[in-house]
Amino acid sequence: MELSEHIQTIIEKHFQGRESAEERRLLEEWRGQHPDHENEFRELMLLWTESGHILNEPAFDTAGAWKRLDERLNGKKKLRVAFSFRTLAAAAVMAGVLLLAGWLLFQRDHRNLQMAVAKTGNVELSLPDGSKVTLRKGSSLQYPTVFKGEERKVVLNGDAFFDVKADDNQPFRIHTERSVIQVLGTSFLVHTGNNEDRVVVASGKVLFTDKKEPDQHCVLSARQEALLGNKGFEQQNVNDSNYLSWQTGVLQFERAGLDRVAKDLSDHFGVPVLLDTTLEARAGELTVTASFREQPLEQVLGEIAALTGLQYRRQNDTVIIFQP
Amino acid sequence: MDVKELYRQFQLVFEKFYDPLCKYAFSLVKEREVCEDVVQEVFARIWENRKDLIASESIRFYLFTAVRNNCLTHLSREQRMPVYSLSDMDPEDEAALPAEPAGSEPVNYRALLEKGIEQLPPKCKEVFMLSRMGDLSNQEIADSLGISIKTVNNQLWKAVKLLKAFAKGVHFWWGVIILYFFQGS
Repeated sequence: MELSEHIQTIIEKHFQGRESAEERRLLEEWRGQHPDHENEFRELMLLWTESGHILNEPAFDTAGAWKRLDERLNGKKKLRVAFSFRTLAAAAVMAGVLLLAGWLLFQRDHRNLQMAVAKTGNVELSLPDGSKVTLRKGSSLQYPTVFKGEERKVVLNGDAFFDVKADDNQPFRIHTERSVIQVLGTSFLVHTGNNEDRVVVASGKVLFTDKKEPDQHCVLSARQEALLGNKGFEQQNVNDSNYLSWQTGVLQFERAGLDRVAKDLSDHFGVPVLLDTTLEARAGELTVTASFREQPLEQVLGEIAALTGLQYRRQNDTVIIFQP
Repeated sequence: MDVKELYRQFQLVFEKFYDPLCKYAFSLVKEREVCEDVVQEVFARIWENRKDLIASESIRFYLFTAVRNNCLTHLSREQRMPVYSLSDMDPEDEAALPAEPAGSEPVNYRALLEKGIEQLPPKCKEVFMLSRMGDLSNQEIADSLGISIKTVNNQLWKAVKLLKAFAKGVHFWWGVIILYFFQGS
């Protein structure tokens, strides 16, 4: 039986016990309309409760796991070697994960630092020196209540656009896990990913330095960008403003190669968008000219598919574009 | 609240969510040990850095989102895409299994369902698991996965419909097999 979307949504809410009184009334009315409705409803309910029973059956050893965690947190016992390796690796990525956690949350610790976390959307911040920061949803920035000493130091996790107040005496330095980005007064974007840091400069000049090898650095001017990955710096000129799309909501492609399009979509929506291997080989030949304003990924993909004659499929979290 | 009391509460949260989180992780990473490590790590981080979450309403959301992110990071670190069996790759709309008129409840309903849940398409399964294991609202799932609530509504509905079709479909084929043997004897 095909149910209207409205009834579907109410039934889903009813499963979860989240329906409103009005919705409950509508649902009861619908059930009373026809015996088939009532049957369908009962069947779905049975399915929901039964699958709940199945899923609730314990499959992992909670007590044992608690014992291990308890020992770990209270330092009663050394960790297994294999576990501690994982721990380290996981700890490195947790930094990124923590961001998703908070609403706009200001935390102070004893060193006078505060943390801004953008949970539900982009957040505009004014720093103590008057510099402006737009923090992308899911990112966090740590900064002091007052900039003291020789530098203005902030620690970034995620993406942010900086508009920095000029001050030659107190350089502004952004620390990420991988790099230090120093400015005198300029506006630019910093993206910190799992595998790379990316800096795009809108105006002024920026000094971008590898933390591990401070000799490794590059100077970026307006409309230039650089990537710092495992293979060092990669510098290039910027041709479009899609790097700001998360801030402006606008994605624009002008005869952009398909590989570029896939990359920009991945960055913008935070969903991996890949090209199928056969398509990848000739990605440069296919170009897209289109612009999107605050459209959902499905719509954007649909439009690109219509424009190029390509198709896409979803594989778990990843979107794959392919030639049918 | 003193630290001891908070730790006690932390343990309660752990005991309540450890198994569901591991199951959820297992739907993404098919290695039990990795799943357990990921979940333990998330809890350790909460105790070390985010004690404020323990008594908070958003702890469920945080836990499931963090576990998911760590699972995906694990997969990308291993340079692997999530692996699915071939049956998962079937066109997602192959829900049109032969349907029986609603009748008596199949004897082995639960076993069937269990198999059905295993075989849900990946996205569908993830939404279903988040809804069931995390008791997350559709809006929370949408936020956690970064997709629209409409997609969540649809995926959850699809999961239920697929399970229903699956349970019925298999039931139907069992009927055919039994009938076959019955006639043969």
